[in-house]
Parts: sequence; structure tokens; C-alpha cells
Amino acid sequence: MNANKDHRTQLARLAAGELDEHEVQEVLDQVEKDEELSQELDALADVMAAVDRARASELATPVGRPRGARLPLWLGGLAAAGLVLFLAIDRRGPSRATDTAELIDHSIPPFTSTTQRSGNSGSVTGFKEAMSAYQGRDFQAVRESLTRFLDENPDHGPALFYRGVSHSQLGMLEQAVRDFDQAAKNSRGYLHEHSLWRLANVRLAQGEIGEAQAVLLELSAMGGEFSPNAVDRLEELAEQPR
Amino acid sequence: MRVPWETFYARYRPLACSIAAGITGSASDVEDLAQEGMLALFAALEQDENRFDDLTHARNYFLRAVRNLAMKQRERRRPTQTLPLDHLEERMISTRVSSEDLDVLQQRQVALDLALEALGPEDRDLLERRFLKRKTLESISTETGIAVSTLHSREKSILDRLRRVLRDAPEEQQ
Repeated sequence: MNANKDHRTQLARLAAGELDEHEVQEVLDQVEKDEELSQELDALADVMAAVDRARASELATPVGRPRGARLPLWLGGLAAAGLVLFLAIDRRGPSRATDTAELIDHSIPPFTSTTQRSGNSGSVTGFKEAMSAYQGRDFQAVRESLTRFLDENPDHGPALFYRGVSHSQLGMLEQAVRDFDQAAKNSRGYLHEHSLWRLANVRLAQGEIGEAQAVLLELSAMGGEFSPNAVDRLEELAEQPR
Repeated sequence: MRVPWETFYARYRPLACSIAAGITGSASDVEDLAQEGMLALFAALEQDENRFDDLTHARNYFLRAVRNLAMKQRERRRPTQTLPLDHLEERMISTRVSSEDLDVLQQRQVALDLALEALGPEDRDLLERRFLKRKTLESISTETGIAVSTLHSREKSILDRLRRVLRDAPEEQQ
């Protein structure tokens, strides 16, 4: 019992960034030997990823709209419905994994916040189709599916981001620029920064150094997760011969 | 089955960043170190596409790689390297995992997201301070005025609840 308690404590400390390299090695060695501990580590990783998504969703507000930044009513309704469903499942006690299966239709890839959804269940299906195509690297199909999706949901940050990626893959750089720019305007947190980072890289691919530098300066000033990347890229650009 | 790298990375990135932060003592390089860890994973896959038996095997390799990279960075005090993510998007991780396994993973994510929404704001704040901002319980205690022992109990209680969500066990009624 004490060993299990100690291991759990160490896992929590690992997750909180409190372990040095020797302690990390000890934990990883133990995780590889102990199946239960390995599952604990996965559970902790899932919790951390969920907290990360929750923070991103809290920071996300609709932007770029003339009518101002306000959450649509359907978002609050969706969250409330989800909470009611969860509590109902909780009281009934059957398998959570099974009961949440019905929620799969409304889930979107882990890269994006689960609250950044469309209220239109039909277009959510379209988004899922796009993600399946994305996983299959069929970027033309992704582009087509997301274009249909965005016709109904023009401010959907994740869809704009993924379509930007698809355009990049297809060599359609101008379209990629537009999508990443719009994705950045319609998102917050990690997705916002990632959109700007990809926008800067596409600009560089186009040879638009000045445009890229402007975006990189904005990223570096934000002090976020991509700021070090932006600073390094700006330094590289400064060192390049004119 | 081939797993998109984003699925794998989204799941383990925060944990990898915490490992890197603990070793380097710096929060500024952790994202790059996590990305370098992914590159190390793909380098291993380039040598042998079937290198990893399952996602757990790949996870262990990835986390160890991040640990080693963090140690090297701290020792060399080298500046952060810029790593474009673009070329990663064509990569897949080949492991023995079924589509049902991925469905379960997605269900876990949905269930956790809902469980987090059901937590009180103080509990969510504690999770964020501990696992995203990587603050010690002592520093959180200083910031909030809440005793360390109370924070420790609350953290344990929250994690136990979320573990139950994942394990599909009935939650104890309070």
C-alpha cells in the first residue's frame, strides 16, 4: 500500500515538474515494470491534456466579429446539456466508457478544444469526415470537407487551421495564408499561437520575409508557448545575408 | 494501426513539458524539448517502422527521449532550437492499436472534459497551477493562503475522482 501511495505521489510530482533527472528515470523505470503504474501515468497524462484543453477553451472567445466578443447561447446550452448528461450517467452507474459513446459524434480531435464545436450536428459530422480524411493524409478531401463545413461555420478556428494545413500541403500558399490568418483571429491560446506560427512559416515559404517577420514579432511579444520559436526564427532571419 | 502524431502528441505533450521543466529548471524551452522528443521518436521509426509494439512502448520512448534531451540542454546551456512542426504532420506512428482503442481514447478525453467542467473553479484552478504552471504546493499555499496539507488532500481527491471517471467506477456519494 505504501509503495503504491509513494508511486502515485511521485507520478503527481512528475506531472508537476518537480522531479530531477534521476527521479524521472526511477519513475519511468518503475512505470515500465508495473502495468498498474503505467495506467496511472496514462491517466495523469490524460488529465493534464484535459486541463490544457480546458484552459484553451476558457481563453477562447469569438473574435473578429463586428458585433463583439460574446459566447453564443448554444455554447452555454451545450455545456449545460453535457453536464446534465454526465451527472445522469454518474447517478445511473453503468459504464462511463459505454455511456459516453453517444458523445463521440460530437467530439472533435484532441488538438482542438471540445467546446469549440458547431451547434449544427450535421456539420459536426462533416468536420469529423474531414478529420478522418486528415488522418488518411487526403488533404484534397480535407480541404473540400472543411470548405463545406466553413460555409456554415465561417468562424470555426480549428476548421480554419486544418484547412490552412491542407492548403499548405497542397501548395496553395495564398489560401493557406488566409486560413491561418482567420484561424488566429478566431481562436485563443495554443491554437491562436500555432496559427500565427504556421502563418509565419507559410510567409517564409512564399519569400515574404517582411510579412513573416511581422508575425514573428507579434508571436515573440506574446510571451506564449511559441515565443521562443519566434525569437529563434527572427534571429536566424537577421543572420541571413541580404 | 497507424496513429496520427497529433493524437499521440496532444496526449503526452503536457507531461513531457513537465518532465523537461523539472530537469532544466526553465519553462521557456519545454515546448521545443517536447518537439525534439517527437523528432527522436520519428527518427527511431525511420530506422524501424515497427519499432514500437504499442502506444505505451512509444510513450516510454518519447518521455525518456525528452528526459535525455533536457539533460543535454541543461548541461550545454545551448539556446533553444527552432523546430518547425510542419514536416511532422505527414508522420504517423505505427503501433498495434485498434480503432476501438482510439475510440476509447477519444471517449476518455470527452469524459475528462465533462468531469473537469463539473469540478468547482477552485479545483480546476489547483489543477492548472500544479500541472500547467507547475507550481509547488508550497508556492500555491503562499499565493492562496490555503494550507499545504489542505491543498495536498484536495489534489489527491481531485485526481482520485478523475481516475474513477477513467476507470468507470461509480463515484462515491458525499
